[in-house]
Amino acid sequence: MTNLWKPSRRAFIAGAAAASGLAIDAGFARVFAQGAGPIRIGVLNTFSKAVGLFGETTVRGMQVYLDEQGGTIAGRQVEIIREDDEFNPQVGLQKLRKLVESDKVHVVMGPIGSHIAIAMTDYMKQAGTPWLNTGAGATALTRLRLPNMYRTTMSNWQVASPMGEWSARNGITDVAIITSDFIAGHEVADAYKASLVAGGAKVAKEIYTPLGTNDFSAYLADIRSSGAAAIYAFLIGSEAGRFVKQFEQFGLKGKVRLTGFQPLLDSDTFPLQGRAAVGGLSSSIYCETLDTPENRHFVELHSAKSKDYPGIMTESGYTSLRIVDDAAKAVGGEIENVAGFLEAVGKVDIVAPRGPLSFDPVTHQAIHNVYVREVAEQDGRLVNKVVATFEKVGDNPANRA
Amino acid sequence: MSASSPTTWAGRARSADPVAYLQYPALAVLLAWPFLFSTYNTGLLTEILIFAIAAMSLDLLMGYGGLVSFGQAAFFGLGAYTTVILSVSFGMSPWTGWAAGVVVSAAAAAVIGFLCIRLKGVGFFMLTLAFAQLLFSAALKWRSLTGGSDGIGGMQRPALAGFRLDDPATMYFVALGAFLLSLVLLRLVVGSQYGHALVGIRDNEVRMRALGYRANAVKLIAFTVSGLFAGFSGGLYAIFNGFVSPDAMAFGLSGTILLMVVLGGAGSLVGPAIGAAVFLLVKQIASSYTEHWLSIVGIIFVACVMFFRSGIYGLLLRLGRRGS
Repeated sequence: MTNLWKPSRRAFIAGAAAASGLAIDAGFARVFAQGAGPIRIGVLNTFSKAVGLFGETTVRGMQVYLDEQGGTIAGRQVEIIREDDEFNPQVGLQKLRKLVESDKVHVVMGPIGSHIAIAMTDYMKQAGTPWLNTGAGATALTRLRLPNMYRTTMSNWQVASPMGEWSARNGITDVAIITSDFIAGHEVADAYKASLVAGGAKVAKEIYTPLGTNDFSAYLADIRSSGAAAIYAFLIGSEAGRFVKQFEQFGLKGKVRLTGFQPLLDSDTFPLQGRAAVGGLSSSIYCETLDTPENRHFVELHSAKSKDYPGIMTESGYTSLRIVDDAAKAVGGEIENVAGFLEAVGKVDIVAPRGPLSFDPVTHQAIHNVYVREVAEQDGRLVNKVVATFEKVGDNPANRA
Repeated sequence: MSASSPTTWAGRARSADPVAYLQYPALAVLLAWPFLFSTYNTGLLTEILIFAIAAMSLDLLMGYGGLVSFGQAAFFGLGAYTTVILSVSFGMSPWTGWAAGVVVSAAAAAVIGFLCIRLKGVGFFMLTLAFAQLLFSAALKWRSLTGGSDGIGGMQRPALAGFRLDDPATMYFVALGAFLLSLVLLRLVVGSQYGHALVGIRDNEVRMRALGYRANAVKLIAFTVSGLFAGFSGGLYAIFNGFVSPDAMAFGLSGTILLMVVLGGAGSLVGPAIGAAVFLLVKQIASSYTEHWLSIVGIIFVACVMFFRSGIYGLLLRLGRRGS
């Protein structure tokens, strides 16, 4: 063991460390060199695990809009940078830092997980980057009143509360509630329960299941023994698929009425559920069979990308990118003008595929219709049909106080 | 000692101590980093340093004690939760929270270790996993204290001697300081007479007992010190993120830390730190291109286990030797 090899090894390690740093920083130099360049949109969403399909469908919706616009927004090229948060807030924060600090995105769009959105708020407040929340429904998010966040999708309260009211009015009076045990699950259950009980109905049972539950049989047995006449469920992604399947296999279909929060019974989950979903009721801000020119146009565009009907997140991706486009046009394409851009987002007043959409100036929550939908078979395919409409539902009054 | 592990590169590394020659240029790069590179890269290296401490803490147990634990995330998570809960729910300074987190982790490790070290091999492995899962489900289900699967956020990064930790460079230097402190202390431990006894028990427990060593006491100390440093890194991670959720305590994280140790080269302290860097860099870069980034990590891992039994660190040593 001579001394000769030591300098070369030292140089090797120091060189390797420096080289890896430079390699990552090379990305920066490129971005700066471009000057005005493309509009960079950072999509932080879940592309893996049980809810991975929502990331995919959100981006698909954005792609539908981009194709419609010939690939540009406000006259500029668009670069969509997607990052997978793995439905884990720690990973989400890591990826968020990458999008904001390394990719220097102009707008952050996402996430789907409310727990991830909550974890993002402190960082986003400090970063100041415009943030369009395209998927996370936690009611608390608009109570925080982040100046740079607009929620283009529903708040949990907004969608769950009308369903409780409607159910109580329509003879669904003895309900077992089953939701995932995380912030959104509790919020949905609370909002639904409050308006259901106010309407004179009662809750037979409340069950909170861990995220990532595969087997619901124990819970379904519990529901059966409670004697409830209906189920109100909020489970997402592949959990929603399994739950509805097992609901049928367990022999509850036809005996117990299946109702739920929007992602339980959606175009995105029908392929997993099959005919077990037929007859299920849910409330949502979107329905794929809405008979309006805007929605027919959107469904037509979407059919070029997928044989399925668009779901809530696809519509959210489409409409959210349109909001970016409209606001960017209002500031002459200067999306770097953050204050001007955010102000323009707040003034957006459009008719989207989901119906009329504007923002609450205080909480930055989108105001839109809420539909009660029923799953039906149409030309051999499963679709949601509108049963009732609550027009222009705003944010939770408690958030505005 | 070198006679007890002549076949591992780490064994030779200890006897030749090549780290002594490497540490100055490496330290120079680390010190200059925030001035050379972007804030994003500084943040990335901060995270690497934090996980390097966690990986080194497991290395003490695994590389030197021969005790493969699958529950390191439990102590990492305890440190993180204690820090956040004390500062957010009880309004204490995050520094106090961090210090308390280290104490809580070490105490928990002493209790859990007392029960685990009685078993060897798979039994030890499974029992550490079971305790970690127990703490994980407590974090998940005790909503009033831990916030359930939503975790707890809203922790502000504290100030240090007039420097705000909001500044990425300041945060980085705190992490670098914590890393160097851990490295120096852990090297003192493994270099001491106690450290030699630990390695001796790993290699031939019967003989060490015959020589009059209290093997269980030696192992319990290793388990406790290992938990202490895991809690130290967990608390720092909570300060860095301003947030904690059950993922900081999950099964997956225990596996990740184990992977970092094996990837980098167990029984060398520096190796697991390199393993942490490689793992996080591959993850950061590859996951931007594909959701299946774990398969890339998997391939690297398989290659490491098959061809470089002593991990990346052993490979670097070999390359260095060949380069002469």
